[in-house]
Amino acid sequence: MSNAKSYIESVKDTIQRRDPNQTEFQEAVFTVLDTLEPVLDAHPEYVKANLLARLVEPERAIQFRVPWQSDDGQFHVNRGFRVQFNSAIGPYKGGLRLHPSVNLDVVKFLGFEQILKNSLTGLPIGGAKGGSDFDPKGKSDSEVMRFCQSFMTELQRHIGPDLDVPAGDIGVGGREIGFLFGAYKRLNGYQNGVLTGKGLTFGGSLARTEATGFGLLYYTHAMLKALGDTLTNKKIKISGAGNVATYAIQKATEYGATVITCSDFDGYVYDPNGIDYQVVKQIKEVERGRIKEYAQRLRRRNIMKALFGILIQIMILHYRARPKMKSVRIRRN
Amino acid sequence: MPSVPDAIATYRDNHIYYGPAKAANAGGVAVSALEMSQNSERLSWSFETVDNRLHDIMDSIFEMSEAADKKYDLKQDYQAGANIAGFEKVAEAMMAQGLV
Repeated sequence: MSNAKSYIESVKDTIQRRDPNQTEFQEAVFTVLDTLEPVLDAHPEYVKANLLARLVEPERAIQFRVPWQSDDGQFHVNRGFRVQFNSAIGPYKGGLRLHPSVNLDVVKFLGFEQILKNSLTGLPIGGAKGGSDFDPKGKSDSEVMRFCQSFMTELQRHIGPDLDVPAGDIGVGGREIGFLFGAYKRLNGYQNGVLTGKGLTFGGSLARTEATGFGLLYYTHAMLKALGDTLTNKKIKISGAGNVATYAIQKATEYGATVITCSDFDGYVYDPNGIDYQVVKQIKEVERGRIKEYAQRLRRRNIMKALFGILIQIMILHYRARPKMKSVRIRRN
Repeated sequence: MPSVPDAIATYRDNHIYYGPAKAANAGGVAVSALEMSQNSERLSWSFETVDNRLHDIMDSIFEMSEAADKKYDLKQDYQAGANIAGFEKVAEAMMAQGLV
């Protein structure tokens, strides 16, 4: 076994011994470490400096209590997290996720990935991630506001425009960022660089909403170009029908590709003539509905429902766990 | 969320090119960082300015991954390329800053 290889194995062993239950974190870290062997072969000084042991250990992992009151007067307690993983190249940066699946393992997994992702952008931002096991689904605006205010009352002592700049993620959109920003401002004064994903009236950026979906297609375009190919006339299957998928469909269509499927947790649609992103946008963004309504809406234009969706030409988005979906296939007569 | 390791192995076995999540979906955080730039200079850029910067950043992410792929002869393994390109910059910065 090469020196680099045995060093990587020893770092993995330490993680496994220290945090045997953090399986998501382990999977993410091990996948990355396995690809770094040639770099360590070329840089024995990294092994000597025990660099990987430092890379896989967060600079700081904060866990805190988030007490809040629901509309019926009951008291609730959720868990808040902020893992400030690595600030070697810039202030900590990474989203906040509100979802029942959030725990330290998941936040460490996402925070570790964020270090390398942020570095790849070429911009001076370090890696972090945070969130809570609070589930915004089914909560009133007032409940979400009270939760966000309580969450920020603690988080504010750990963040700042040159220190740590959180953003949105699953369960944290424009509404939540607004409440979080308001709570931060009340305690610390107006510093608009403390959060990103803000509304356009208080420091938000144009094209932020489109950024992930557009960026995904710019990346795909660059890859195809390097392989001597283009997006024109490609058939694309997308899993997802939220913010990223909507703008990915738009950009793919602009590139001359045909997106034939998209999906949410409730089902998927297959439209061989190309998914109409404006209909998706109307259903998901304006009406906050389910993607299966796409089939119902276009059936009025002579589209029939059948059983299966097929064909993957370019796979764009992947989910770790595939929810069981009801098949909704549509076909033009 | 990225593909599970088994899925990635399946892509490789079937000669399917794979763009890892950390590279392909970095557009969101990239524009977040551009939002920070606008906040600190107290300006708002036009949609086209931000979109063009985003396009350049995504091109550069792929180019960096591809360069790492070539440098270490990874045979179009863009996942390893992205990991290595991201790691190299962080590693150099960490080495320069001493044992902290």
